[in-house]
Amino acid sequence: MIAFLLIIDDEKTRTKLEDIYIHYHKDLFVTSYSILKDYQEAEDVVQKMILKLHNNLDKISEIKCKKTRAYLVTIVRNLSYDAYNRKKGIIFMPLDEKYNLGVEDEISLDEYVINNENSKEMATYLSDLHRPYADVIMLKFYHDLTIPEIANILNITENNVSVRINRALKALKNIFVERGVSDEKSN
Amino acid sequence: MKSQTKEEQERILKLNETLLYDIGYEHVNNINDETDKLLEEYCDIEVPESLNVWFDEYQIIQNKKMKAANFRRRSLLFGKRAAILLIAMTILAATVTMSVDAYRIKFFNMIIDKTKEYSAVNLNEEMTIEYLNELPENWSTFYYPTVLPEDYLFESALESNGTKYIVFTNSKMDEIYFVQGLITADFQLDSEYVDVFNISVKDQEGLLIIKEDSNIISWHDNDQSFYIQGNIEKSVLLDMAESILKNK
Repeated sequence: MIAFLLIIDDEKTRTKLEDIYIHYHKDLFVTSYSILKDYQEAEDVVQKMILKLHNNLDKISEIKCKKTRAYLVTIVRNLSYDAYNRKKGIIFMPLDEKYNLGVEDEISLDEYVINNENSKEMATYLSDLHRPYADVIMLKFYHDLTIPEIANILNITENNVSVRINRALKALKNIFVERGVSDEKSN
Repeated sequence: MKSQTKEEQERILKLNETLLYDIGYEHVNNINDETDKLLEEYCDIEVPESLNVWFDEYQIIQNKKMKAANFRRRSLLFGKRAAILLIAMTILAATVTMSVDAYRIKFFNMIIDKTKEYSAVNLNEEMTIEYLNELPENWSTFYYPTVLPEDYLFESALESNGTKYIVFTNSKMDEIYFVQGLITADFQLDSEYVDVFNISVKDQEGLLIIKEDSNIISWHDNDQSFYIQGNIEKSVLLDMAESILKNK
């Protein structure tokens, strides 16, 4: 009886990872290949991504949804860029800025919320945002991941994550200012 | 700069979170759109079979590890449950043992009671009447024991010089003499090589005489003297003495 229950328990876990692989393995491989242009390297990246994902399966509640797909693609894309940079000999120096989460130093975007209820308009703003910045914002505020969790899946230090978030917020504010969103509010 | 109240700070925080959540949501849509475009662009690309093989092998290894981990976890859980069960069973067994022990004590008590009954049988009214019917018809007033040792039955009764004798015997033909007479009656007690003890029977002073082959109890009430002799335990002899009743 116990052995039977053990098997059932394993089946659940196996199904989750297998389902993810079955549904998204092509998306992931193609994403990686589009960056690396190499079958073997893309395969290595997908394997690395699976290994990384195995420890973060609890972050995925629903398999067949856009949220999960974006989450997986973001991971594999960052790993692919890492592999690409290594191949090209590009080494990024770790960022040494500190991201202060204190309220006083937070970058406030509230004035833009009122005038940006249209999500489609928001999507066009994001196209102007540096993709790694958009990724950390998505992972932090939409996927609700912690900074250590983001650091783990993006293969960067926690400090880098914090700096990236801070810079992303500044960049986002600049985009709003450039697009005259704040002016709309005052008008 | 105007300082913000706590409520204002909280509002800004919530608005920021809402905006950033929405940005994240839109970014998810963007990523999905980009991926769809990539799939169209690279529609001829096939995922290498080696990746599938690797995944299958990885799954097998992970499943084994997971099974082992789960088995260890469940074994530990099972072990804990088994330990609890063992403790429960031990407690139950102890309870049962105690119960058995208690039962045993009760059983032995019953045996002892039985043994006592064997030694001194309480005669019920029917049995008493049965042997009373065998007493001489001319006995108008007499005393009789309602307790007899096991295996003893009425043997004979006689009266001589105002003293009444009732004899009981067992299957081995051992005899018990119950003698009753007026207080003036003279019982000859053989006190040679005996131990004599003062006792109380029916709140009356009496003597217990322990002889080598028999024990004797002698006592009296206001007008009668009593004498019981037999090769029986002194306690049984005392029970027999205490059970003496007068006929109606």
